[in-house]
Amino acid sequence: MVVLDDEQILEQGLRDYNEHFKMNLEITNLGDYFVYDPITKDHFVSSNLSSGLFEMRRRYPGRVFFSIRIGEKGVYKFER
Amino acid sequence: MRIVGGTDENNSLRIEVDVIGKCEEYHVAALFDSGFSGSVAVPVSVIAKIGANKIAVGSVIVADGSSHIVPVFEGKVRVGLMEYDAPILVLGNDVLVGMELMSRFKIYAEASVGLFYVEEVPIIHNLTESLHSIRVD
Repeated sequence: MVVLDDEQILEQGLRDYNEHFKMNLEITNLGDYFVYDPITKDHFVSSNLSSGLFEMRRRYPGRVFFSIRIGEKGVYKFER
Repeated sequence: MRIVGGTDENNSLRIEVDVIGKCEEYHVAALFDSGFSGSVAVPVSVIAKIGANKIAVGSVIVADGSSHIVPVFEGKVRVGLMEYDAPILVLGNDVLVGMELMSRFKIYAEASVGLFYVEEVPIIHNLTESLHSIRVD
């Protein structure tokens, strides 16, 4: 089984998100959370991160996923 | 149910929560940071104590616009008697709760005595069904 480290997951996930998902999802699901497995290329979009992680964990137990909030640069932010 | 929080020596709002992992729970007066869009962030020492599965990585954008890679762990947070699924970020030196968790609540402040109160807001999933169930005599 292929195992990626955190930086690889982030880099691959962000690249795939920007190339294949970002444009459409920012129209249809702005503000939702995108959870993605860079190995299987499977993903799930949900209104909260917990639901997305739960569903992807159900599909692929033991994996670590890439996550981002659609329309943002990251999954969460600190404004102060 | 109403939960009471308070202010600390820096006049920051704190609320007692339990951060729940696979092995243990960690009881703490967490800092309520309304500028934090997530549920809960903990120092690495807390994740090590409670035990949790890493489930994701993501970027967190901080106030100066810079981004940081953070691991995200599976866990729960208990506020009062209610438990909520909560992605736990490992970041910083304090336990923070943010708007993803706290938006479930109404928050009232009694600033003169340094107290604030938290009440869970009921979620109406089907407004039409709820309206039909209301009797008007």
